[in-house]
Amino acid sequence: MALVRVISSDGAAFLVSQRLAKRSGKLKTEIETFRKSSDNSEAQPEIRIVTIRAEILRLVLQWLQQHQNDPVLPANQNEQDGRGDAEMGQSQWDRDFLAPMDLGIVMELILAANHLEVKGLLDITCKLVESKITGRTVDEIRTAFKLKSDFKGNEEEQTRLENRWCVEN
Amino acid sequence: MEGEVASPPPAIRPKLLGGGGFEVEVQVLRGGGGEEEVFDGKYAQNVSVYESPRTEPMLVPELWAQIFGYLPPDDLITVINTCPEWAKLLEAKRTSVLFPKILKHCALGYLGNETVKVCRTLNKACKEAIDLAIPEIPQMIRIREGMEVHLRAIQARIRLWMRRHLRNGLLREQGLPEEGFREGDEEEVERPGQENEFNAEQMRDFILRKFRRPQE
Repeated sequence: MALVRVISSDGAAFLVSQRLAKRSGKLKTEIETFRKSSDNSEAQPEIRIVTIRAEILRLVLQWLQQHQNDPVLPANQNEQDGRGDAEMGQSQWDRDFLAPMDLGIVMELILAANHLEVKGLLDITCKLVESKITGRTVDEIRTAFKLKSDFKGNEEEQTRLENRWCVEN
Repeated sequence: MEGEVASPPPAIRPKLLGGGGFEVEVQVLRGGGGEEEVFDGKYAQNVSVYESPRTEPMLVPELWAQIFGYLPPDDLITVINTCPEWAKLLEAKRTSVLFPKILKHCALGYLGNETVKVCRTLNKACKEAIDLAIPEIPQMIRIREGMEVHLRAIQARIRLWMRRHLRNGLLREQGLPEEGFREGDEEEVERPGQENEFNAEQMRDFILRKFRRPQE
């Protein structure tokens, strides 16, 4: 069974079957690049992901493992309405998978899913964050995500004025 | 939060499985002496709070926190990804640092228009992230600003034109030569103090007489 070694930014190595790894667009490209550049076709590819730490990489691999038999969604599919994808693809397992995570981990998963090009995971994590934002006031979101306003003078009021006509309802 | 992340999904098996099962082996390469340590899949979760990584020189976590306070958000993300100790140290800052970054991915396709507006008002980084994700927004703002500049110029021309008509009317009544102005003169910049050339009472009387004239 062909394997690939995926190494996180903090040095943990994950030995993954290539079939599973290729469900990530980024890992698939890296494996193909390694194959082209390597003389030994039997050599085990080693991919270092410098922007994802072990805890997050492990979660991505867990999700890929669970969804290894799902059809792979192209990265740009239904880009204008990703919500549809998320609702269709979200299973009870996904809900249980995301439920115990704090927001910081979910946000790191979004960046990881985007970097590794795992559309399905990106969909469900973005949808989760969306549910934490939609319908809330500015102050509620600032509290939930520990954000501080750094607008000076009337900059915030100016932004509100811009908002009145910059996005159609 | 330790331990919560792993449940309820099944933990990654630490050993290679034969026969078509899921094959992931988790190893830690950072073990002392260069040897690889087989780990139980809970890597980076059971690190105690606020430890410092082994560095030369060794610094206490409080000093690292002080140093990280000077870093821009992009570098903080790099620090979070460097080692579990620093990820833990910056855990409280994580959502505020990551939020503008993930907005870029969420804004298009996941957030409704009203939510996008709210997110633009959170802080400068969020506003910038939304504007980068949806370039139509800054485009619309520039168009609108251009329109407002033109609108103000048109209003100024109208005011100038009215003032000149008033002035000539008053000059005419006093038997003084009228001020001639040609087509396009109204594009001149309004001069400061011009408004005081006639006092308010004179102007009011003139306007009243102007309105009465057709009835006489």
